[in-house]
Amino acid sequence: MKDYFLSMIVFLAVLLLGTNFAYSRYQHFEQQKIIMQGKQVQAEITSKNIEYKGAQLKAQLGDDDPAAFEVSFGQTLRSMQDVAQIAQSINRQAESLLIPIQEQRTGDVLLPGRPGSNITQISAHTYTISLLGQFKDCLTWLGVVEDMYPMARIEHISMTPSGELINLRCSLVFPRVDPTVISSK
Amino acid sequence: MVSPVYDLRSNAKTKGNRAYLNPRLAILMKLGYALLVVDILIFAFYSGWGFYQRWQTRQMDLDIAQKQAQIQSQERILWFFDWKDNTLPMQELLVELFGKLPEDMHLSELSLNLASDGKTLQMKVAINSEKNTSAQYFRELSTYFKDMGLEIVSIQQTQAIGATVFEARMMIDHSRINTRRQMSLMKAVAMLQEKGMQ
Repeated sequence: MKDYFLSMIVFLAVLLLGTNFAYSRYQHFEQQKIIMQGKQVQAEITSKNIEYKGAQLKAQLGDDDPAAFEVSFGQTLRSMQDVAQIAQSINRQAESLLIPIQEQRTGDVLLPGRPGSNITQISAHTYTISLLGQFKDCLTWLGVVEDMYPMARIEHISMTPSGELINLRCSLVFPRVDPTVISSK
Repeated sequence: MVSPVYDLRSNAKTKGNRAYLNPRLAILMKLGYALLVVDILIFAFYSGWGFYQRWQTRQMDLDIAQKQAQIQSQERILWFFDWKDNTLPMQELLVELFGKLPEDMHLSELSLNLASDGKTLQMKVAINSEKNTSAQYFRELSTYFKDMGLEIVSIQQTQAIGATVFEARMMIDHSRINTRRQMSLMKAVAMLQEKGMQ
């Protein structure tokens, strides 16, 4: 009997190890099953979210295809990417109306996302300009700039008389989003 | 004395690989071997199935990532539409405003500040007139803004040299502003059509 003693110990150890490995594999499998169930639920929720957002887009755009948005507004969004280009085109409009530019300044700002959305911030350019010109010309210039950049927003405007002319100070905000990011699937 | 190689009771060897083993122990050994085989089978089965599930989970992760990217695109588009809807047409507002002002009303300052959420507008206007006349003018301005869809919620009046300064905070009803714009556009189109017919 004592001759088998060591062998029995070794055998028992191997048996216990083997059982332990098998049990650990089983536990790992169960964990993986729980993870996969979680992922299935997440995928379902994500699909429902897409459907809901698609319905909202259809109500506003008439189409839930992001590519349709890119076709309609891609040009406008691209024109708002580069602040130097924005400044150049706005200045050109002022020059064509013979309105001297007193001051101009660019900057960056972060705009808040929609409530409940996972996009918390959208970056934007700001452009502040001061002009001195005829009242009618300044208003015309304002209209032209609003038409050129329909997605931009005038956040501040002030008009003060300066002799026969008016001093128009205007701050515009240009949201900056790459249109290819919107239309990429 | 050297122990005999053979056990005289059973004619079996006591040493070596054919040594005598207690039958009870032999059964236990066989059970042990069976258990080991079962362990190996369980190990192999759950490992294989676990790998397959892990692969499925990875595929799902890719699918979810793609869907989330799609949701991000949709969110951005919806953000833009919200942004556009909450933007005021400043030039139109100013042209209409100045068109409706009485000729004898003179302004020394007009400034408009739109809040970043697009829902409120701060206005500061300095009317070059004495206090009572300025208040009358401001009431006319308020009526105009109300018609446009801008409801004044607070007013502060101060006196400056030769002018009365009004600072007002207004809540914006964008739906009314957009409806007015659409109606103006339709009127303009109708007028153009009439001119074309004439």
